[in-house]
Amino acid sequence: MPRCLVVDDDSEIRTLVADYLTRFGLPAVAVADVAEMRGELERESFDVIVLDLMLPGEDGLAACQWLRTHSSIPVIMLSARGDFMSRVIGLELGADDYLAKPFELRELVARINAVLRRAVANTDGAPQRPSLVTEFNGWKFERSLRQLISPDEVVIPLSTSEYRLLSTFVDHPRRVLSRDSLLDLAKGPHTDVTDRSIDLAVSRLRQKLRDSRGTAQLIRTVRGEGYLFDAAVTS
Amino acid sequence: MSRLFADTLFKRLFVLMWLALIASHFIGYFAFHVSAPFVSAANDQSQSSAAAGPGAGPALPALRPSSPAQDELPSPLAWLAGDYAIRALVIGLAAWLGAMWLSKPMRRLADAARILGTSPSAVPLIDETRGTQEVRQTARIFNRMQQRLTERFAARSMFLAAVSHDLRTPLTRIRLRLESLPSDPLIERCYADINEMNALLDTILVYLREESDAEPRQRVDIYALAQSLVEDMTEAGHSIAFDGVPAVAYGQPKSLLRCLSNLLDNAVHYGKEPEVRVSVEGGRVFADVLDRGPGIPDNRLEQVIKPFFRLEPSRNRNSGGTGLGLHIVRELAERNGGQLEISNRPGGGLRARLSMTRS
Repeated sequence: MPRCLVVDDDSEIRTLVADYLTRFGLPAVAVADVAEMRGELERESFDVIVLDLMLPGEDGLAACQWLRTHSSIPVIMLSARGDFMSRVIGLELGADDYLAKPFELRELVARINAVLRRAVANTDGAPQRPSLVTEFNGWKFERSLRQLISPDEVVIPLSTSEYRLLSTFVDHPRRVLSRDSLLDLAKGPHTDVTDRSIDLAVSRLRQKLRDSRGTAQLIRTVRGEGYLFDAAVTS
Repeated sequence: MSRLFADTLFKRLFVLMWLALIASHFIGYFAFHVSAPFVSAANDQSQSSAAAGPGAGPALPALRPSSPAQDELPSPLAWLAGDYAIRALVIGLAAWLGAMWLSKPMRRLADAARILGTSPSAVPLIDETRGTQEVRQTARIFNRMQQRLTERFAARSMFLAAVSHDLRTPLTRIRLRLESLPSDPLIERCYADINEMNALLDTILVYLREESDAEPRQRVDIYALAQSLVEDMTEAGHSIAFDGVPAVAYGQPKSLLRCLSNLLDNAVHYGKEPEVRVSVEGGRVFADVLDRGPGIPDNRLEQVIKPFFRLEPSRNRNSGGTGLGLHIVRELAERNGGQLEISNRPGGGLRARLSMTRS
């Protein structure tokens, strides 16, 4: 059973979160600050850390950075600031996901499960942590900003489904991905994705990836099997 | 003593006028005496009534020859006209130079004020070591004002970040406590209230944060932006029509997205048949958000853009309106070199038009 470590300076919040997670099959330990977190990590092993951004003493961002250099445990950042920049900074410093307070506990559980799923998927050879800016064929994919930069430097915003789809493609370049596996990998916590909507999202994404120079199709259809992202990805 | 040699506006103007006067005399002298050698030097000293014209004060020695006895000379009227033309030219040139002197610091001040008006910055905007004493003093005062404004903005942002944190923590606690209770219609309503409070916090913070937001300006595909937004809202269960042409504008991507998203939220909340259209005309890109709702009475179209103004407070409360949406759109649009226009559509409903600079 995956074990969680909850770090939040508010005693009631961390107790409520830890109790809820435990009830939903994610046994959790709650601690109040970064020092306690380190102590707990030395004693036991955890599969995911839920970390508040604003903590007394050493704050969450610094803790996240420290965690990234010392382990590969997935981190979900919680923040009461909820602004765009703290989200970007959190993800840049190595958090795997970000949740703004006040959050729904159901949402937290869904995010934890998604992060754990990704961590398992990562063991089969894919890059350990998706980097925030990826490049392919002159395009830039900025994940934290959910946008593409075309080879002629135009910002192209992506919808949520296009973003998820492209993330999946970029994480698995030059591999045939069946519709089923795309559905599985590109699914968000609250969305209802069908085969048909995957095809639709692919065609829209193709439209956005068509640049002025008319280069070859980046997303190829593999008949009877699915789709293949045909580009060398660097990050 | 230093005051005596200080570079003041008075001294600059005095020297300029003095130089203009001397120059006009010299040019006049050369024009009439050197190029017309038949005029005797004695004529210089004579004071004629014609010389005391409105252009030449009593201090000016007359240049006009005034001996009507010499038949070969042009008429005194022609002399007068020629002399006045030369003086007008020289004085005009001097006035032009003087105006440049005077208006240059004013232009710098205007530029600095414009920059300050759009984004407060910590770097002093005007050079305090250039220009006359008066100009330097104005620059110093302006820079000090700018510094104070910037400090105040920074303090306010800090304060707001703190408030939002301190309000969101108890909100989180309430939310979590509610979640540990068995489901109940009353609890659902509490959730709705929490969401409303949080949405208000979000909007206010966004509104106040925009001032200090330094998102770089880039070329943005507005067609893709509008289409992504429509798609996300469609996924959330709204039905929105979309139509457009490829269009690239110059601006801040996240700000433009926020603009369009606020307009579309309004159309979805208050109107029917929401629709987004992207078009291009000359140097502008237009994103129109249309609906078939009740529209807004013509005499209140200006008011709805004002902060915290609500058309029908009772109705808007339940839909989470804060009265800031349109105001934020206008502020952001203007900062991006764009505009927000709101009008009623023929046949009912509202049209909100966001115009942007084409790239």
